[in-house]
Amino acid sequence: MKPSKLLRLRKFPWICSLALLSASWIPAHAQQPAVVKASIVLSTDVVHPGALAHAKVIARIAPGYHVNSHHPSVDYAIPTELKIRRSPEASLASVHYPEGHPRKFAFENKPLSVYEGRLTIEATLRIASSAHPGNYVLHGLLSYQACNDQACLPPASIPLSLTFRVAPQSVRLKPSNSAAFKR
Amino acid sequence: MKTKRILLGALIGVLVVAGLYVINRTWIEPAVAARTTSASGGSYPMAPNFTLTDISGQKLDLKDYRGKVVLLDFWATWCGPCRIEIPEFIQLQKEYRAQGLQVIGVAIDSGLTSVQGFYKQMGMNYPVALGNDRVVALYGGILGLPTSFVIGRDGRIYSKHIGAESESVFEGEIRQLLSVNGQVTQVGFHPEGEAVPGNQIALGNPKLLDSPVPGVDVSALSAAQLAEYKSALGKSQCTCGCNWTVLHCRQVDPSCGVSLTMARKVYRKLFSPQGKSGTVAEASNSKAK
Repeated sequence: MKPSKLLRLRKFPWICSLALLSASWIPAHAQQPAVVKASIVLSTDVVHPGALAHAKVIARIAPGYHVNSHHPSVDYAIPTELKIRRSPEASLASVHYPEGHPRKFAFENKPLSVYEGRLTIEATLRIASSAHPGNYVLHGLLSYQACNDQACLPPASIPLSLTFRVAPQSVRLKPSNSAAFKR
Repeated sequence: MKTKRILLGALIGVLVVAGLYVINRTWIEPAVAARTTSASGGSYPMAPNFTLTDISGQKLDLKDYRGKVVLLDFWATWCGPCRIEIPEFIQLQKEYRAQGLQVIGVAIDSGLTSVQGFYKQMGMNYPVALGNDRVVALYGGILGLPTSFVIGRDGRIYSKHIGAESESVFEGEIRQLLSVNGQVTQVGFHPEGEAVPGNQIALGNPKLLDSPVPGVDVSALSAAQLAEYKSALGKSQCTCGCNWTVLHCRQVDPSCGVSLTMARKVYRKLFSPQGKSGTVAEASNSKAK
């Protein structure tokens, strides 16, 4: 065995001990693995007062895990939900959730409606007529409850923030985040 | 010449025997002794005690079940893999109650109503209480549900199972633990679930969890020192983005790593002669004494 490899193996128990020690100081919910990552993007570079703006929440669900869809097929399941906090400049007009995929798991007799892999939720925002030109931030939460086929994680929420610029009607809107909005 | 050879052979023989004796005393015996100790109940952690109120309003104190084999199940009504285990636990409770099995459910649900409804619907025959952050932390943080602990009559945790497990695995462990009184010396549990040295069950430290500054052991501080410490933390602004003082952040969000680091740093600064260089444990043995 090469000395460097041996050294690494010798250090391994110490590294594990340190990891366990540090983990033991962290309460339960802080130890949850990051199973879902999400961000929110706009379809245009600026928005106009009084107009609708299109946004997408793009989430990635870790391989092997699923989250319940917005309309779970069993009544006990916690649905995936997007919430946007209303601000003086913008509010949520509508949300379109994708259909869940029916998936059969060992722990349930009937297929569950779930999201796996990449998840895109479309949100339409209403920009207030009174919104003055300038930069603003809209805050939201993506709530979900994830499981794999053996175990479930407690319900969790990802904070989302969308920075947007309100521009006068005279400013022409340019497409933005084209990869996310490609049809 | 022949005599010399015989003497030499005898000398080599004596040296070999002596060498083997030394090797045995120095390495083999301690290793066997260590292995024996590891296989005894002494190396299994004591199940942290907790007191909760069950869903019917009765006090549920884990220590009341000492002398029984306890299957402690952390579960939730929204968790499919948890739900599938419940009928199995009902069956196990029914079958082994007389021999000393007690199943206890700790539900990680946000409300009582859904748990009560499910309890009734399933005809659950064992106590269930709503869990809280403290109990979860005492059991090392629940990474996934269901998480079940099998506790022996001696109050030690003999196995931990994360995720749905087959009834036969639980039954095998329970039967083995029911068959002995006191400490268990031989365990042949499911390898993934067995709490063996090197695969230790991590539990929360009540001293840290119940501390007035959660995450920091202040038991070595005098009342005046504790007041001084809390005052210092009350004047320090937490930099995690919470806009609270370090003390408030520790108390409201014990999971915040930023406030924990800051609180430990202040502790070292106040109570360790080495200041930043000392650890919190060292600090508690120095000025804080």
